[in-house]
Amino acid sequence: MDKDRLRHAQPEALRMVRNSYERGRLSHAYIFEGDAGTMKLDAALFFAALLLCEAEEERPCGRCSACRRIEHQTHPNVLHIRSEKQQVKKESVQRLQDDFSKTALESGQKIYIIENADFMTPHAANALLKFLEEPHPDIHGILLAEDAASLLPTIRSRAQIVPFHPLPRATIETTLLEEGYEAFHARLASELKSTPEEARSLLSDERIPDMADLVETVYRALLEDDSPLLAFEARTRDLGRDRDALDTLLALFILYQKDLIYDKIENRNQIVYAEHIDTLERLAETFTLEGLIEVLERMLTLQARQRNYVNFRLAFDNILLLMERRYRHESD
Amino acid sequence: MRIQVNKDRLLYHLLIAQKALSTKTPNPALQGIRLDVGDNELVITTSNSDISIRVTLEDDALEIEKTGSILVPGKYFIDIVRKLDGQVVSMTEGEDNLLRIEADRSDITLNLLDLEDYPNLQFKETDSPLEINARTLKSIIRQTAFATSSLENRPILTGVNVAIDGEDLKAIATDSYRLSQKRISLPESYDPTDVIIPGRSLEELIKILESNQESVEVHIDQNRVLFKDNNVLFLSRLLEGNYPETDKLIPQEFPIQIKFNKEQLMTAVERAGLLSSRDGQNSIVKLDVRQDNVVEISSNSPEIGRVREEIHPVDEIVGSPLKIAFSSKYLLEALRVFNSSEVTVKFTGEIRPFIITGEFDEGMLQLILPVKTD
Repeated sequence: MDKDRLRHAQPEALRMVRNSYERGRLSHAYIFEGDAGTMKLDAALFFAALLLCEAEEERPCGRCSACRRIEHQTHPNVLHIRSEKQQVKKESVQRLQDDFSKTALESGQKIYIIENADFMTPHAANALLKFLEEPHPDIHGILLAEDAASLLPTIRSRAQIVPFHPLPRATIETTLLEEGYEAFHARLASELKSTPEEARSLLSDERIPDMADLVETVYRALLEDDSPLLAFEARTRDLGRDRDALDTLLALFILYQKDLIYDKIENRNQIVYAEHIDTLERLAETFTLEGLIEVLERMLTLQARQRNYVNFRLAFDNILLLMERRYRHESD
Repeated sequence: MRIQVNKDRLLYHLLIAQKALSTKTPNPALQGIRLDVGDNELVITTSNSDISIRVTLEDDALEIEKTGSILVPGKYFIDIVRKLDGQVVSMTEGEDNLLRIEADRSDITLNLLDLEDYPNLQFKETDSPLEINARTLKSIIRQTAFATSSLENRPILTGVNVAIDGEDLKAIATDSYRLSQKRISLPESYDPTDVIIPGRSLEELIKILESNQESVEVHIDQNRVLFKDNNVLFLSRLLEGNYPETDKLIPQEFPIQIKFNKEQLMTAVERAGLLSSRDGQNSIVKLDVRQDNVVEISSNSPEIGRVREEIHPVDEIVGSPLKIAFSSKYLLEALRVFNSSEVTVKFTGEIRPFIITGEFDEGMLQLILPVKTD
């Protein structure tokens, strides 16, 4: 359990949990709701440690036997139900019931954690519901879910929902940097994705460096009196109609376009393509702010419409032509 | 840790401890056997979380060079010790969490588990344990635990309710279709206690108890029951909740009473149960008390055939004629735990539960609910 990272990533969720603990108002069940990678399991283990830690102060201490066993997931009072093949089955929930019908092996509160609770089968959900209907003061459940709305309303109404927000961008960037990713890529991925997992999977796409380079080439064409449209078409032939790739490419263009705006309004530490600061500065000097914003708006509209099966190439070509027009108009 | 120990003694104790070794558990630490070497003893601990066993080996079979505690992977350790040649095993805890086992010409190195992950088991003895001889304890368990429910939907019925009040000990098990109750008088008086011990725990306990007159200490507290049989400690968790009130279920007046030879009744019911369309032993047999003082046991399954058995009761039948139907399995299981060769079956009515008692089974009664037929 990386407590510091957790504290940094989910301060509000931790505060909610800690407050209810300190006021002695623990709920019988919590739903930790948030995207994959938002450290819900870490937070659930933190909650268990908070209740079972042997230290008097600064709980959880992270050093006592209880804290360490919770971290290793070997504490007998903490029952952890994992999902199998995207399902949580009735047998798993029954195992909980079986265990909770007996006295504790070790004294103290009992905590159960159900991973992917939104994937409970109807039988499992009903078994859990029966269990929630007769709450026991020493038993607390934590249901981890990406979407609490897909849980039974009768379960939701018996639990307190704790929202887990996507990680702050900087946290993802730091994580990626620690894992040895290049600074530019870490920055790029953290801008585009909301969890370290997604960011990693984005960077595992080998075409990303090429795409970033392509974006730069297209913009630089403006400076060299070439056509951005031709530069774009020449380099993207092999992408064809690969929707995911085109999506990513558009996202990279949007980042560059934003960079131009940041440069224009002199907010330079927000810039992602910091390596290309020279090109960025020369371009931003020529463009008007209105022109930059207009192009960005067109790009964002296209991004929003991507799902509606628009003709991407046609639409993007239009944007590139607009961009070139705006640029030439100002430079003449 | 560094010890030398007689191989057979070690294996003997390990096999007792193995009863609580967990093979299927989400907690990897419970697949380990904990070994604690003190100044003059080796303590072996296992747990599958429901039951835990602690065996102390403390005799001249053991030579201690260095004390210490380790957690060995249970299955591998037992398999190794079982297969070792030679009389003496020497075990040395090495660097990097390794255990070196040497015996005869074998030299084995085993990776240890992390002792830190092992649960903190409370083998705590109470001040005033109940003392009961091993043979009595075993027979109480044998006569009740079989009647517990195997279904988990009412967990409380998977246990045996043990209630002590003064010198009276009462053990009850029921799955809501049949009930078994055993009462004994204790030699001393004890504070009132009422607990529910999981039936499965008790069935493991009787496997390791010797059938002798030596006394076993039973330490009961709110959360656990600990049986102490010499150097063996057996700890079980308890079931939580209130056990159903069973006294009201047991009829007090029995207008019809029939005394049977137990073997005769069993074989008749077994045969009647043979022709059953229902799966296994769970067939329905009918018992018909005729005017002529003969009892007829019968079963009928239209697709297969019919059985009719006649039994002459040992004594004159008390009461009026009666027809009643019940599960053959329940009756057979109940009869099997009697020591008496003659049993008395007592009826209240055709749709009321009936009970079985035996002259040489003082304090025991078996109750069975009848089945309604057409």
